[in-house]
Amino acid sequence: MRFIKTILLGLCAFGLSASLAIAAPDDEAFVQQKANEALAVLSDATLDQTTKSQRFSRFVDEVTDVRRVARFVLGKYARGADPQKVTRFTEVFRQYASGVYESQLGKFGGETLSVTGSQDRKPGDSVVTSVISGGQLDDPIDVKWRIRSKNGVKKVLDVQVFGIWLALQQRNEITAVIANHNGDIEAAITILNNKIANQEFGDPGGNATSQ
Amino acid sequence: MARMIFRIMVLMSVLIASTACTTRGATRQDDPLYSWNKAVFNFNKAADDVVVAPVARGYRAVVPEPGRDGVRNVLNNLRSPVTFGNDILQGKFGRASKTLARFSINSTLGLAGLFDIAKRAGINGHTEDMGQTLATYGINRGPYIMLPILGPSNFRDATGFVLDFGLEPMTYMRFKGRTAVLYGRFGVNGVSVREASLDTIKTLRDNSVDEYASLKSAYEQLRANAISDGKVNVDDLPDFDDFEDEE
Repeated sequence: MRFIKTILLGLCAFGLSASLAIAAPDDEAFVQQKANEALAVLSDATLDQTTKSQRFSRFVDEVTDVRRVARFVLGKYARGADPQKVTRFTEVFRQYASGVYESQLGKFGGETLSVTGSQDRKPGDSVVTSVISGGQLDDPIDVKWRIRSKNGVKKVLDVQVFGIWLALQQRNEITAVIANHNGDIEAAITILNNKIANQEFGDPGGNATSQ
Repeated sequence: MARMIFRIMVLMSVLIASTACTTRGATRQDDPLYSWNKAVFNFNKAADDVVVAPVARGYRAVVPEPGRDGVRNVLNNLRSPVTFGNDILQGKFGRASKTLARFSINSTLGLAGLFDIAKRAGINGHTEDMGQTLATYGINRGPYIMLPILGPSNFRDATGFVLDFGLEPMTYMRFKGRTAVLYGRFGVNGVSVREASLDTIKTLRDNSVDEYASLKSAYEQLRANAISDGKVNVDDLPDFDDFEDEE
C-alpha cells in the first residue's frame, strides 16, 4: 500500500513539475502559430516584394502592440510630451519597425521555429523561448518573445534575437537621438522618416553587400 | 605582449582622465566618458572604413568559405585554454569538461583545430572570458569605454581582457619569433572576426538611427547575455507600462 502511495506521490510531483515548466502554454501556442504565419508570408515565392511587404506590415500591426512599444521606445520623453507628436512618432515608428522586422525575417527561407518553453514575469507578462533551425542555418538561433496578455488579447512587446532585445535596442537609440536634440521628439520623427524614405533597412532578400 | 597591453591601458587611463577633466559638461549619466568614447568611435569607424573592412572583404573574396572556417576553428581552438580557465574560475565544471573535450578532440582528430570534429560529435563550443568571470563574482562593470581598434568595452571587461593573458599559454612560452607569432595571431584573429561580422555590422548600421548608441546598446546587451549564458532573468526586463499615460 505504501509502495502505491509513493508511486502516486511521485506521479503528482512529476505532474506538478511538468506544469511549472510550461509557465504560459497559451502564450507558447500563440508564438508558435504567429511565427509560422510570419515565416509562411516571408517565404511565399508566389508573392512579389510589394505584396509581401504589405502583408507583413499588416501582420506586424496585428501581432504587436505598436502603440505601447512606441511609448516604451520614447522612454522618459513620452511623459508629458505633445500627444500629437507622440501620435506622429507612433505612426512613423510603426512603419520603421515593420521595415526592420521584414528585412531581418526576410532572410529566412525554409527554416522552422519550435517553441521550447516559457516563463511568467508577472500576470499577463511572459517570455516564450524558441529556436529557429533548418533551412539555410548552420546553427540554430535562439529567439525569445515578450508576450503581453490582456482581456484575452495577446500581443508581442519585444523580440530577442542573438541576445539583443529589439525594442530595448530601439529605445536606447531613439532616446539618444532625442537627447542630442534637446529632448525634441521631432528629431526622432525626422530621422525615422528619412530611414523609411530611403528604405535603409538592409536587404530583405538577404543579398546585402557587406560593409 | 601583456606588458605592451598594460602600457596601453595605463596610457589610456591618463588620456581618459584628462578628457574627463576637460569635457565635464558633455558627460552623461550612463556614459561618463562620452566625449572620449565618441572620439574613439569616430576614429575606429574611419579605420574600419579605410583599412579593416576592406581587408576583411578582400579576405572573404580570396579565401573560400571552408578555408575561412578552418582559420576560425584554429583560432577558436587556441582560445580554449582561456575559456577552460574561466569555466573553472566560474565553477562551471560541466562546461569546463566540454571545453577540455573539444580541445582534446579538435587538437588531435581535428588536425590542430582545423576541423571542428567535436561539434560534429554533438559537443558544441562556447566562450568565456575574465570579464564574464569578474561579473559572476559581482564586480560592477564600471563606465562604458570605447577602446582604440579593439572597440566597445567597459572597465570590467577591459581589465578582464588584460587578465586573460594570464590564462593564455603563449604568455609563458619562449621561442624564436614569438613576438611575430603573437602579432600575427592578433592580426589574423582581427581579420577573421571582422569578416565573420561583415553582414551583422552592415545590418546594425542600416537599421540604426544613431550608430554610436546602437553599438553601445548592442555591446551591453550581448555582454549581459554572455554573462548569463543566454538565460533570461525576467525580473531584469524593463516594464512596458512605465511610460503609459492611460490604458
